[in-house]
Amino acid sequence: MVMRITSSIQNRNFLENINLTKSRLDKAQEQITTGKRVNRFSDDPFAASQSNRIAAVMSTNDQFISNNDLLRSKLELTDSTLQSLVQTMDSARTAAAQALSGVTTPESRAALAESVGSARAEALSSANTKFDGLYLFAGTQSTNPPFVDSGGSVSYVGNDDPVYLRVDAATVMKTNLTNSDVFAGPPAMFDTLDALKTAIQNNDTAAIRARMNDLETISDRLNTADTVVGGNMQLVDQVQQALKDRNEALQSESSRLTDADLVKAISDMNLANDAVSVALRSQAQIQNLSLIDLME
Amino acid sequence: MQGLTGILDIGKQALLTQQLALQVTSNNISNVNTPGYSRQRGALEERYPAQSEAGPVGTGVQMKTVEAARDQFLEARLSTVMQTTGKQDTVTGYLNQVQSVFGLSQDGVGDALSKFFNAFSGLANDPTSSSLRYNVVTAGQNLAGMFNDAARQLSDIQQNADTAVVDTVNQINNLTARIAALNGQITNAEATGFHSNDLRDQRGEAVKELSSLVDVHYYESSDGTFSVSTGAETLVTANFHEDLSLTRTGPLGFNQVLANGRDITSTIQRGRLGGLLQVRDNQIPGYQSDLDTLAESVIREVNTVHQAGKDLQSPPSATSLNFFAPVAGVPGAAKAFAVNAAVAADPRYIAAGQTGAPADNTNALALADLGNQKLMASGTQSFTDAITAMQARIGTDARSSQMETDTNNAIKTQLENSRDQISGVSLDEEAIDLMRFQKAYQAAAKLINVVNGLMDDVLNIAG
Repeated sequence: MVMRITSSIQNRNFLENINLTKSRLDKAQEQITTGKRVNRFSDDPFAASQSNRIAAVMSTNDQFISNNDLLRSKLELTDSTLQSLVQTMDSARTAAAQALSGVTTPESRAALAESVGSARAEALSSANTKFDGLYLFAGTQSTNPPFVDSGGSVSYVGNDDPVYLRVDAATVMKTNLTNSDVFAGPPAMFDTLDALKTAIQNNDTAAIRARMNDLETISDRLNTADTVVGGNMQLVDQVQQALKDRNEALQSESSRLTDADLVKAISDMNLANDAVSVALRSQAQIQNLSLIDLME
Repeated sequence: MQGLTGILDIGKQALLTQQLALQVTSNNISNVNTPGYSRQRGALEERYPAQSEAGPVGTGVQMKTVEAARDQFLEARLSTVMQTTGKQDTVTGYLNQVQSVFGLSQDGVGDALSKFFNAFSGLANDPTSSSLRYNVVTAGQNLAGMFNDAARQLSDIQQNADTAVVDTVNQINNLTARIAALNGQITNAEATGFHSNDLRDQRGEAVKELSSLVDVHYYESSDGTFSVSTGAETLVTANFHEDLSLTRTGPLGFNQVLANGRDITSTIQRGRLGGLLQVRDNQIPGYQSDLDTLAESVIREVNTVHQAGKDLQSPPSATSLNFFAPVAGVPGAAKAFAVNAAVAADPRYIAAGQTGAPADNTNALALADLGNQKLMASGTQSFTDAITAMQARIGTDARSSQMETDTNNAIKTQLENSRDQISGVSLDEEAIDLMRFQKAYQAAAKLINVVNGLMDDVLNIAG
């Protein structure tokens, strides 16, 4: 039997199809305007979950990257401070060597002692270097100057606590050097400089020689510490690069999961658009196809 | 009646019958767009024959009855499908609302969680910095706000569903009253033995509408009335109907549905009411419990680590404060989520260290690490995993509900088309009928004209 097609069936089917096509059009348009294939979890729960986790990891990585930028500056400052301390030690050693040269006068010794004194002052200032409001070599008591010059000798009021930072999800780095790493010795830096000054003033060559050796030991210690800092700087650079690479990879993975294929979306939209206009036109024509219209 | 007057009578009957048929056709045409209308047909039959010397001879046409083209089986199936689509449409609508509460990863609770733990990671750079401390408080308040907001929106949606329960029950009562009234009218109208097609159409439409609202079983009794029940409760018999009533119970004062004084809330599974109850009583409480579990867990874990630390007060407080205001338990945790007021007022109370030294950042690091630890679902999920799993659950629910809605709507359309194939009005058919009955009417008029001529002839003979 031939199916009876009533106008209600025609209308219903037409509406149904128009709605279907329009919802495809809507979907394609949403993808084009947002640039995203996944605009809500129900669009693709798996992809949305993945991209959610990726976003969390990227956000944490971004925080690491900004932390590490700051850390890199801190390590650079530590490095340059250690280098200038090495130079200060060198200048004190030069003064000591001149004091041992045998042609000294009380005046020249006084001048040499004075230059050791200024080396001590330089070293003290370096030892109280501040980074971003905190004293570099103070452990965790870093809100006040850790090296205090009182009664002609320098005392340490900071602590030796390490300051750790997480540079990435897997790596924790000790980011500070303290008194015991750099200054305390033995031989202690400031005591050595004080003793050298006294020895030069007293023209005590044996003591000057002993202090020169101490200064060499101290310089070695500074260089060793600086090597560790340099290694840390390298590690931070590597980690930074890795984090940035990782975030780029994650970004593209997230894009792959959730971005719209614009070419496809646009062609979908055009197809749906054509379908809607053709359907509308054909419906208008079909509406005229009734026997009623042909009756006299 | 024989002879010319007999023929005249045949002509008259033909005119009347074709006119009646035209009336049925006109009625069909005028109701072409009436929902639930079943096309009608005048059933024509020959009149009782008269006796003549040649045996029985026909006496013309008459209309026996007006029949409606209706398929009870299709109507019943349509009612079943309407119950499903009524429910699915409702559930899908509400789940889409729930879904929009949590959004995608770019915003919402998940992002606030990452930012909160990142703020502690930032604080580790310089625990003495008051701007970094304020940053932590702001991130904490933002996180709390996200939880509060999500909890509030979920309960708003739940409240809306409850309000809609009241409206729906009112609609159901109106419809059952209408069906009962139509039952009465149909009994009266059909006492003469004829089917009351139009009233039956109206009743069918009312049953269909009722089906989209609630679980419905109905059958036609031998007297032509519909008995309608939901679950084990009868709603309509003959011209009597039983109103559903509502009573508020439980801590939230949600409406429970009563029929004949019995609470039938849990037995309502279908129609819009079934969907509303499912959303209100199962789905949203499930999401709320997920959200509260996460909120309670975040508050507890952060507070535990925070209390083990030392703040920046001078000297450091002997006992560190909670970072978040503690909550009594899981239920309501998301709603109560808040940064401890003392900490918010003075961020020096943030316990970033463990020794009391101002630049000690060990506790800030420990707090930042909480963000990556698997502290939820028996140590299998991080906080981020938990909120993601929750969003995925809502998304999957919304998606499958949407797909079920699409499928059921397709089935509904198919069934409605099948119904219209039988019961719908085809204008082409009606046009043909118009022509047929018009021609027949014209022929009958001609017939009368001819008889009239014959009678004139007879009278002329007499004259």
